[in-house]
Amino acid sequence: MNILEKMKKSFGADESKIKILDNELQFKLKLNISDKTFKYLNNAKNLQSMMETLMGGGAVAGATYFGWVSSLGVAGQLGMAVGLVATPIGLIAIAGGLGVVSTYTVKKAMNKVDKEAFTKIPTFINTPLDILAINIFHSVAPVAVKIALSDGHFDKSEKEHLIYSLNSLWGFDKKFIEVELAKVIASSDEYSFLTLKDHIGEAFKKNKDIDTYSLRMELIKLAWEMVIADEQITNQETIEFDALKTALLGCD
Amino acid sequence: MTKLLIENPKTFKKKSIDINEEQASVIISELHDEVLTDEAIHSTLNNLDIPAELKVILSQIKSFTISVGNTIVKIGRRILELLIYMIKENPKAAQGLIIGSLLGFIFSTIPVIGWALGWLIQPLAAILGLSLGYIQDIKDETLKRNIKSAVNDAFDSVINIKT
Repeated sequence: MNILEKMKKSFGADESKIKILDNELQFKLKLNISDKTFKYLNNAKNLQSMMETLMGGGAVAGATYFGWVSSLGVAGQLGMAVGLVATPIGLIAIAGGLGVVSTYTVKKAMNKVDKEAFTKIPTFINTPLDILAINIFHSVAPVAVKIALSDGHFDKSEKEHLIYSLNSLWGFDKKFIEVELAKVIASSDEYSFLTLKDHIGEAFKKNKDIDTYSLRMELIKLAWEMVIADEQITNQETIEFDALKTALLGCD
Repeated sequence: MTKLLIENPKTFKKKSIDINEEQASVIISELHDEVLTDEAIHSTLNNLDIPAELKVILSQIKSFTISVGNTIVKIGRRILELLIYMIKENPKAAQGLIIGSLLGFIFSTIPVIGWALGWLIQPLAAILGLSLGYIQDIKDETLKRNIKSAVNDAFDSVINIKT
């Protein structure tokens, strides 16, 4: 085995060790997912069928992977696919609407797509729940990071609080949080509350049964916790927090 | 014949070397594959327990490319992939020591890379506090052997090309 093959083997093994959720029941509780829906989401056998439903049926070729991902933004389709109606589906809509999966999953997926492959899913995505979790992580974390960085630095206490929230309250795996947070921090300059507002507005308009209020309150609550995490409230933090509130509360 | 073009990213001086078609084909096939995604490289480097100045140098290395005919070969990216692999496979060794030794060895034994990136040796030595011996700084003979073997294997297609 030459060094290139050793490297591929070594890094490939790493990927299979990635775990998105450390406590799936905590995640279920946080999203108020019903038992029936949770059972569906947590069944690996449903990954392919959910994907096909989102794609409008038929097999999914590697080249059309982006289409599958972008379709996650359509809350109605996802709702139909997994039977979600009374859960806070707004999170799912916004998560998909922001296209956040494409920044993480698809690039990895596309790298792994074999020429002959029909459908290739990254090894760490095992169930529809994993897809949902990745999307939700990338909807929640950027808001907190943006607020935390508004005074120019990501304080240790802010980071610890965010990791605690995402791990203990949301059920995300700590290693996953650390790896993903590094990416969120690196791209925080490009993140805008106005984009978030637009997506929430769109989701609300198109899907009347979506509970975006609870989502907005959840994001505002987390943002405020980030403001006070380092026990110092700076002007910049106040300005950013107000901007977030204006953006989120102006969605109606 | 095919042209192999190198540009020194500091001085912007260029060097053109003639290689035969077979050599060109081997270089492209060996160095074209990406082992890690950009995101994986970025997040791994960000999480390394090393000085920020060293992270800047590593990002400069990552963007180093050479041209083989009409093909751009991301050789700097392969250097970082190898670096991350060596750190991962040797968790007990100091990260700074592996970085300094591996880069020092690459710059001093592979002319195509050394000509373009050799100027990084001094800042590397200053940041890492290593002597200019680099590979000689490693007392662990197995690690030293592994680094030499990995570098020779990874850059086999360009190691004998003279500048």
